[in-house]
Formats: sequence, structure tokens, C-alpha cells
Amino acid sequence: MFENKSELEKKIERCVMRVEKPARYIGGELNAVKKPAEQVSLRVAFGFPDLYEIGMSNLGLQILYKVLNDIPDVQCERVYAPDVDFEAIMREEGIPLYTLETKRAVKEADIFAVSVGYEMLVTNMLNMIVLAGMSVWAAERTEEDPFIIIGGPCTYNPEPMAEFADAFSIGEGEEVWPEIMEKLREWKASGAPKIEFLKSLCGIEGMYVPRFYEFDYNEDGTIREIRKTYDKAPDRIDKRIIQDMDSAPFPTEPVVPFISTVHDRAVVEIFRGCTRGCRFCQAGMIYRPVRERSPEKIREIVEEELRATGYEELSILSLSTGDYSRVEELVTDLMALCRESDVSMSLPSLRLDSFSFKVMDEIQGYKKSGLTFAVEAGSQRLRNVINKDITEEHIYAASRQAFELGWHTIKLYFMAGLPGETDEDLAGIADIARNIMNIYKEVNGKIGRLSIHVSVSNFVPKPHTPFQWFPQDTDEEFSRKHELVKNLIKPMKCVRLSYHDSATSYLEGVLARGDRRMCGTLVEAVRLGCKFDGWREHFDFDKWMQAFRNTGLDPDFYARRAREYDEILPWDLIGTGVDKEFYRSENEKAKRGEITKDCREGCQFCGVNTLFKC
Amino acid sequence: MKFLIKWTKEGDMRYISHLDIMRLFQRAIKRKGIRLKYSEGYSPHPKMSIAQPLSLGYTSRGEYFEFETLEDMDPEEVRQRLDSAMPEGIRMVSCSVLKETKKAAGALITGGDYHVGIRMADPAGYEKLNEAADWFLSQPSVLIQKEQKKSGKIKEIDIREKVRKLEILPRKDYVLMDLKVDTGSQSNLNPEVLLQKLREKMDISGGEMETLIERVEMYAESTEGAEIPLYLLK
Repeated sequence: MFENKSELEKKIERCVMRVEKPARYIGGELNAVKKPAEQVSLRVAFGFPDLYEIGMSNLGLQILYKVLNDIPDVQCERVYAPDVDFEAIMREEGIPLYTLETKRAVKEADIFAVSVGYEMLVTNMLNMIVLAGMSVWAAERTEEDPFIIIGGPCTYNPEPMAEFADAFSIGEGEEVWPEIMEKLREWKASGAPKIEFLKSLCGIEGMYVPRFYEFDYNEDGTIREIRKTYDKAPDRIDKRIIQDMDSAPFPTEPVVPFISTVHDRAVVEIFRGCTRGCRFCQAGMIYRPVRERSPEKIREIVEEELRATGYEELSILSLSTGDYSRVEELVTDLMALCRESDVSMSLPSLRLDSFSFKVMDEIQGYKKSGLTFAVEAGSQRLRNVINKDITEEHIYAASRQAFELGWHTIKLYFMAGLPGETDEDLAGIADIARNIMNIYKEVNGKIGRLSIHVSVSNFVPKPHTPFQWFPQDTDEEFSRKHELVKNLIKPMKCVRLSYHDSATSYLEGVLARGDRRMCGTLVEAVRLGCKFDGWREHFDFDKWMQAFRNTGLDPDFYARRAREYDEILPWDLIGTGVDKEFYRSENEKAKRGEITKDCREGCQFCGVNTLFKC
Repeated sequence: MKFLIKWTKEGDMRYISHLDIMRLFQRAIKRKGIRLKYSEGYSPHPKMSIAQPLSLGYTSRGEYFEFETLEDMDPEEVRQRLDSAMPEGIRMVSCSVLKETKKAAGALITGGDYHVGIRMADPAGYEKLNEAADWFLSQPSVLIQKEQKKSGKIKEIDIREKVRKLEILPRKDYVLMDLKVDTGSQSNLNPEVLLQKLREKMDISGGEMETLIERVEMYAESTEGAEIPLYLLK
């Protein structure tokens, strides 16, 4: 009965029964890949710096898991951040961070890859490196330690993580990872020191090796110069993308978790990129150009995926479903397929036209969930400033139609702290809610079951957007704005208001536009106990401020300072294909309240077509 | 058609909870193109159930799962299909067809066999264990206090009468406790409760005694009144 197992496996077994949800820590799920040891020559531990339930819902990770495991001698394994209960036991019992597939220490892998999706996950990543038993500082890690390669959307400004990473993979990973494996194989065969592998990575487009660049600063704290210390390192690291979505690998046999996760369903990505050009939106800029997968390929993927997983729900993924060029054909086809296979379907971000009402009526039936509008700003003037192409007439017409069809719930998303915002714009948020309420009364004769949910998030200026130079609002200003909206909404009993925590938004703003000097602050924050900063119950703002004080950095310098156009920005080394000049001109147009058209209606010359095919 | 499958839950699968196993089975059935019958009513749910849920952390060679399908199928075909859809640690051992009676097979369970592997930090512990077991068997009744789930009231339960067989067999570097106990909705004994009592008697802590609990088989009363393994139910 007592089987032969490694010491680490025995320890893990002894401990997992003492924690919440042991299934997070054992692997063995359907479609998980575990290759015979003798077949494996390269091992990649792929980390996601959040809980299992969040990480397992990440499509990017499932894609790269497939891409890497499709290479015969590569074993890619998963690692998630342990929850605080298991972490405490791991520390107490001396269990190092381990991979789910083979239950070996992460430290024994050749590469520890980490995907960082947003700023607040960096502390978890550092904590994972510590739990793996390594130094967080790339310069201090030994020849025996694995290389740490960081990817994910957060690497479009890699500098706050630059001293932790041996390399960054910028952009989409499907093509890059097999190239990295080639270089790794060559390097391992050569027996050369680790630095040679890093040099060889400079020969792969999209790979950024931060130790080959040095930053000098002016007295005012801005960057004076970025110098290369290795002549073959590229002057600018351009992101990688998949140009043809139909031939791109897709995980039609994804790992199916035992426990329920955040997105516990089959998912198919229908396109990447967005043509709308909202000026606040980083995703809309960095994922350019739009690349669609054909309806035929999508159907093929869905069929295979449902067969391989047995999921009871399908979701389609993109930045804006309604913008897919053959959306009606696709949705009609997928709905029929789902009906045949007893699978329910969820369709996020449809445009609310007559077709989508027909579709929603069919898929939601009598269980009608809410309709969602991302209005973003309370007035047409401000929506022009941010280039958000939605009008109140459209919202009201769609709401009326929804109410006539039996909907009772509307969700409205707004932002506070946008450039050029006035209190009138904020008052407009309440006006829109009131107008929708009145439409409901007209349709139904009374307020009855109406529920309007107004969500106000705090605007965080992000790198690689037209607002990257903009100073973020202060906490006090955010709070004042929340109060203002709250008081205007209060008389309407059917309207519920929620807003984001200002301290979290501020810190997100600080980290988003940080530079390399911030690495020390992040390490200090982890030392003080910061982790799971995206989780309200764990976030400790005072500790963060302590970390900034202890390391002599002023967070306001990063979040609340207006930058000049000619300032060297920490992320200038990273190329998205979009010209800095385009961002500048978009920012100027924003100040004048001028809109820029959707680029499907004609090229707006952002520059991305000089690197990639639009 | 109503099927009863005997299955195993071994290795790391012992950390997968009852609800998660239900979801796993439902998805496996879907993947393998078997169409489940659904209950009627406002929110229909598939007709499937797992008999006598196993405690988290136990392994089993004798789990049972029953479900109803829309179409008639060959039971061996059903077993093979589902077996090929399972992760490592879960095997479909046999599949039989049940009469579509009202009562679930799980509700007929009366007894169960368990193997408990016990490894002592101190070899002297084995002697203490034997003494504790002898003591237990020699008692007319052994009462324990149990808190009622719903009311929270403390109830006294005789666990002696629930133990039908308790043998301790030496193995290479551990001992195997062979148990037959009441199992099911009428009368049930979780082996851990018995172990707890024995530990108390031996006056040793959990840390000095490593245990692995495995369910081996479950029994039900046949129409003739004899207790038969569940897979023999008709």
C-alpha cells in the first residue's frame, strides 16, 4: 500500500490533506501531459503567478503548454501560486515550489517561464521564485539555476521586472517558444556558461535580455540614456505576433481541471487585435493588427475541443465579438453546433443590433442575464476625447428593445479620472442611468424588477497608449469623484453603484509606468509580506508605501507626473509596431476632442503595417 | 437503460472530491458520446449518482456509480468507453445493467470492506495496536460521542456493533488492518472513527502513526436476503 515515491512526493502527500482544495496541488487532470523521463531532454516549468483556478482559466498558458509539449523531447509543466495556507506549510515543511506534472522542484527545470498578465501579479511571481529556492535577482542566480523567462501582456513595460528576468518574451509566444527550445538544445549540448545562451537569445526576434542594456538617469529622475552593453543585442525589441490565425496552434485538447475554475468551459479565440482605437485601451494598441480566424477553422476547433473535453459550455473569445467580420454566419453556425451537442454558449461583447438580440434571446431563453454596455464616459464630449465609439441614442434604443424582450438587468461600465474629465461628465453617468430607468418605466409601466448596475473603475494610464504621458488622478480626487456619482445615483433605488479601490488603482498606475529602479521596491514589498495584491483581502497599501520609503522611491513620480513628449520612456525599448508619433498625435486629438475612425474604414497610419500585415 | 459501474480511485485521485468526480464523470460521458437521461422539471439534471461518497484522502478499489442513458447499450462497451476517458488512477472495473427500479443501488448498501495500512514511527507501536484491537473486539459495546450534523446535539453511538471484522495482518514494513463494517445510509462507520478510538486507547498521537485507508468493496442485501457485492445486483 505504501508506494515507492520520491521524498518530495511523500512530503506533498502528507501536506495537501491539510489545506483547502488539495486538487490545486496534485495535477493528473485530463489531457495533462506527462512524458516518459527518458524521452525528455528539455524541461520548462511554466508558472502563472496566481491561484490554480485563475491560472487554469488562462488561454495563453494552455496554448504555450501545447506548443511546448508538441515538441517531442520537451516536457512543459505547470506551476501556480500556492494559496497562503499551503505556502505556510511549504515553508514549514521545506517543500520547494514544484511542478504539477512530475512533482519535481522548479529549480530542477531548464527554464522557469512566468506569464505576468497584469501589474499586481509581480509580487506573486517574486514569491514563487523565492519558494522555488532561488534568488529573485537574475545577477545573483547560479549556473545551476534555471533561466527565468517572463512573458505576458505586462512585459510591454518590462523594466519594473528587468532585474529578475534573464529574458523577456515580448508579444505572442506560439512561434518564439520553439525557437527558444532550439537555442536551449544547442546551448546545453555546448556546455557553455549561461551567458552564452542569453547572447544567443538576442538572435531571436521578440526576445529582450535586460542585462544587455543599462539605463542612465537625469537629476530630475527621468531617463537620460539607454545604453547597450552587448553590441549584438537589438536596438529595439519588436513584439512577435502570429500573422495567420488559421495555421496557428490551438489547444483543442486543453487540460480539464477537476475543480471548478474561473472560466470552466471550452473556449475558442476568434480573432486578435481591435480596430477601434480607444485611446485609453492598451489591449487595443498592443495587439494590433486585427487577425481573424476563419469560421471554418473555428468550427473545426470547437468540434475537436468539445470532443476532447466534454465541457458543457462554450465561450468565444476576442476583444470584441461583434467586430468579427462574419459574425452572423459564425454565431449561427456555432449555435447550431452547440444545440446538437447539448452545450450552452456564452457570447461576450456583442454589438447590440437586431441580430444579437435574436441570438441572445435564443441562448439565454428564460434565464436572461444582464445586458452590458461599456459606455466608459458620461458625455459625448468625453467619449470623443477617449475615442469611444458608442452613443447614448444607441444605448437607449438597445435598452428599450431589451426591456421589450423581457430583460430586467443592465450593466454600465464607466471610468473615472479620464484626461479632460469634468464634474459634468461624471454627472452624465447618473443621467444615463436615469434615462435608462425612465425607458424601463415607459415599457413596463413601473420600476418593478429593474436593476441597473453602474460600475466605475479608475483610469490607469498605461504604456503604449496615447495617454501614456498623462498624470493619474490622486486618491483624494478619485474618492471625491466616487462620492459625486454616488450622491447623484442615491435617489434611484434601482441603481447599484460599485467602484474600484483607489489605492489599488494608484499602485497599478505606479507599477504600470515604472522603470528599472522599481525592482528593488518590489523585492522590498515582497519582503514586507505583499502578495496576492489583486485580491482585496490580501492587499496592504501601507506595506507598499513602506516599501517605497525604504527604497527611496517616490511613487507619485511614476503615477502622477505629466511627461513631456521628448522624455525617454522606460518602455521605449519595446516595439509594438505602433509609432510613438501616432500616440502623440492621438493625444493631441484627444485634447481637441477629435475622434479617429475605426481603421476598418480606412488606414489611420498608426504604423503597425510597417512591421506586420494588416 | 440503467447502468452500474464499479470503479477505482487510486493514487492522487484520492484528493478529488465527490462533486469534482461527478463533474469528471459527466464530462467523460459527454466526450464518449453517451447520452444521459435527464430528470424532468424546471431545472433538469442528469440521472447519475455515486454510491456512498468516499472521504477525501481515501483510495478505493470498490466505488460504484450509476446512471441512466437514453439509448440501450452493451455494458462492456460502456465500460470500455468510459475507461478510456479517465485520468490515471481511475479505472472502470465492471459494468452491469440494473432494472430501472425506483431505488438507487447506493441506497441499498449495507456493508463495506476496508483495508487500512498502518505504519508506526516506533515498532513497539504495533504491539500496542494489537492490544487495542483485542480490547476493542472483547468489548460488548464501545460508545463514542458524535455531534449531529443538523442539530449540533451530541449523540452517543456504539461503534462496536458496527464492526463485523477486524484483523491485523503483518506486512513487510507496515501492518494491514482488514475491516468489514456497516456502510450505508442505515448504519455507517467511517474507519477513521475507529482508528481515532484505537489511537486514544493506545495513547499515541496521529504523527506517530501513518495510515492509508482504502475501501475494497461495498455490499447490499440481495432479494434473497444475503449480503452480496454491489456488482452482483440485478
